[in-house]
Amino acid sequence: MRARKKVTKAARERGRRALAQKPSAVAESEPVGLFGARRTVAPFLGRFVIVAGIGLGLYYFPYDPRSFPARCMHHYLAAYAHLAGAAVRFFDSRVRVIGTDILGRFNLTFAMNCDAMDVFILFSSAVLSFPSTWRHRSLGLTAGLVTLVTLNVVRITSLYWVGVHFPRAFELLHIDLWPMAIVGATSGGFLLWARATVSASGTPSADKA
Amino acid sequence: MLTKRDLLLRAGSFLLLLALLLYPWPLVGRLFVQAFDVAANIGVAAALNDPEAQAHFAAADVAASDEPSAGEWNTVLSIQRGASDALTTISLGVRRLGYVPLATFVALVLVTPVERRRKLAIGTVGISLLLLRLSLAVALPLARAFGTLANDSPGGWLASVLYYSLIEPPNLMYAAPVVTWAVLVLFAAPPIALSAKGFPEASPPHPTR
Repeated sequence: MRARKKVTKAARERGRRALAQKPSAVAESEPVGLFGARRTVAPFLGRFVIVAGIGLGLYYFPYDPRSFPARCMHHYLAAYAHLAGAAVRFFDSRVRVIGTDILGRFNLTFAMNCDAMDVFILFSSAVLSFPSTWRHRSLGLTAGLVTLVTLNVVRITSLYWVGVHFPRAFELLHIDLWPMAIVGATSGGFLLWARATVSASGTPSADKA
Repeated sequence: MLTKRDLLLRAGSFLLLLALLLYPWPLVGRLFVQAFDVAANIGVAAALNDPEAQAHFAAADVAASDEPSAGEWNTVLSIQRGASDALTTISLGVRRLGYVPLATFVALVLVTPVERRRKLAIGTVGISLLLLRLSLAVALPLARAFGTLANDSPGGWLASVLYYSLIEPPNLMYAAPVVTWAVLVLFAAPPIALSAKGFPEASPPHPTR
């Protein structure tokens, strides 16, 4: 019995040491969260602010309309308008797209912000800043982009439909409800991705960033 | 640690609170706009150095408003650079700029599962940050109108990027409070409903032989 007790004590001691050496192990006084510990939060937030600042700065910079980035932006918005126009055409075959304008029984102009790029920049900054592997990050970014583009095309189709049938409700849907849905979906998507990435790789570690 | 049921209850409470706060109750818009006008006029009077320049906020005339649905939420900024200059008026939708972000943040803080002292700290700092954003929404166009920030200067570019990244996009009336809340919760209370293994709760360990 004595020998067994000694082995148990030694095993306990070894277990304690192993736990103390694990990078995920934190002191009891330090709260454990999605980020492992409070000390990993500050670097995450720092990286998030920098990446989001660069992304938003590049997107919203007041480029000269004749400059290359401004022309690229126009082509990108026109391509997006054509994608959305193709979706709207499922419900109204008379719809046509000229440049960034979707023309039909209710006309829509596809401007900056209509692509929900602000939300995607915030989402991708959070994904890129989160302590994870590049494989998980690229999966998260791809899934986020596909989901957001799909959601946005649904948004534009619904706005067209509401604009045709219930024009008085257009502003409510456009300004109040859809932004809420897009921000909610993006926040939920980030939490799900973070949960999946933490579950897949054990506890998060700041040195993977 | 929150269970899935608790999490759903809190999400439901958040949506209910938000719906209550955003419901167009009579007089809320008028009172909010009046409070905004008083604060903005004090701020503008303190910031304007030129005695000839004038800037004044006054609630929009609901009957004469072009946007009947949001009329009582509009305020009109009147600007006159000098005694001989023409009066310029700009209509500002205070609901989108200030009320919705504040209401969203308050609803988020109220359902956050942290102790009262932390909740108060998160609420105070968050509301201060959102009010700072609101004051930027007023200060940046004013600075541009009075020529303090020239369009083709680094200051003008920075102001433009700040305005279009933080204030203008409709999605940001929800994204700004959500990001502010998330950042403050991560700093003030990392264990928010999250376990070391993931969100919302770690799955039970697999039986080992």
